[in-house]
Amino acid sequence: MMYFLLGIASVAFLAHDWFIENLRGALNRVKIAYSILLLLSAYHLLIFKNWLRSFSFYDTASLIFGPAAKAIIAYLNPKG
Amino acid sequence: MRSTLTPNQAAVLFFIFLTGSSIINIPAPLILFSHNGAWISLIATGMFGLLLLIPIVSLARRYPGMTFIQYTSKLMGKPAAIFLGVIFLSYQIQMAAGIVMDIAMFLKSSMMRSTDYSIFIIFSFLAIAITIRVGVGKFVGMFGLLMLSVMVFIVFNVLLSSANFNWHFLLPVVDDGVKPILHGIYFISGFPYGEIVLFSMILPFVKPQSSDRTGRKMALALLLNTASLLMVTLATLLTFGPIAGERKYSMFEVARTIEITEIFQRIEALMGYSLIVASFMKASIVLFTSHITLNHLLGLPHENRQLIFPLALLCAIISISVGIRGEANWNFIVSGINPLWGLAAFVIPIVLVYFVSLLRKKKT
Repeated sequence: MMYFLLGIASVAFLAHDWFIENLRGALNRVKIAYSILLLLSAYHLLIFKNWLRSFSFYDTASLIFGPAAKAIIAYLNPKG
Repeated sequence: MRSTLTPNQAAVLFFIFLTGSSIINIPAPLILFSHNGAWISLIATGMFGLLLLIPIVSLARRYPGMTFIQYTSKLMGKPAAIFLGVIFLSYQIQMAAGIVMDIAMFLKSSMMRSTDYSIFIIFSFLAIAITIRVGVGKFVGMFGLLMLSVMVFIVFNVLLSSANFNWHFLLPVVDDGVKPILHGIYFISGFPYGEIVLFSMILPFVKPQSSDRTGRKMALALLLNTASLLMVTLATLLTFGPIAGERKYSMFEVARTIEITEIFQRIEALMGYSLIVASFMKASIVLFTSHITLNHLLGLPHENRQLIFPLALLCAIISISVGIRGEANWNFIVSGINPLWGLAAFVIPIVLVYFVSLLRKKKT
């Protein structure tokens, strides 16, 4: 059901953007940004399906902020 | 696409942004961290929010019609604007994904247990993407009425639940020292108060007027928000006492305790409506600003609507994939990482840009 809904929504919006919002006549940087966003979505879908073992958006955030956040929370915990 | 706001509309949007979703979600975790001192944490962080309004409003006044990305580019150069803009955008994507995930978690745990999270997330993002396509000037009109209904239901809920209040639950206040209060301050300094920096992307849409009182109106909206959060936090504490922090979606749980004759009972549906509507409005505001941020990073006019759909799709899939590392990991992201991320992506950049603007002002 999830993939069906995502597929339908993607096709509908892509068609709308291409023909009504004139994506085909858009600047190259818009087309590149559009493609990157779609590729990032596909990348996360692969991680979600467990077909790809890699860093997701939140894994990256945990890698950057996780150690500092853990230290802050440990300090703020009155029981140590 | 109408894309201007009056100062009153900006203040209403600000109140919606601050209050939407936090009024239902903040009390339980805040009480869990700060215990009976939750109200002290709220007041202290509200003051922090007021201070944070100063650079946001000052920069908007100094650079009328320009967003955070645009005046950062002017003050610090394009590479710095792109660097800060990408971090700024990353936090907005996580906000949109997190808010919608919260709607899905609430609906699944409280109302529709057999339905998968993803169904709620996809439909929510579809509605949000379609909403923001009409332009900020139009959706803010609709949001004002929706927020009014949310606030009426919440006040109604608090008034009816006051029959179950136990005033002894307010004591003791600081029995574990000051650290729990600091923990509460850390938690809500990210959500919702650190997030107000997002309005540096919305203030350029406010029509300039001769007697500009946007800043004062926004400060009033922030004070009203703090008062509303205080009201629901105290209502939760007074109803549940020591176990208040364990009650997720606390206003929903407070509503379940109401039973006044046979007329006023089972009114938690109103709180369910409030949570969904308020979160939907906040997620719309966040997706709108993230789209403007992306447009300005690419040097496009803010009227460009071509990137709304792929951005909404990315947020939806990030939101769906939130649960892959388990609920404990998500709770750590919300309570531990989110405030720090907000500080790095929102608070430090705006303060930095503000000081650079002050230095430039002195030189000229």
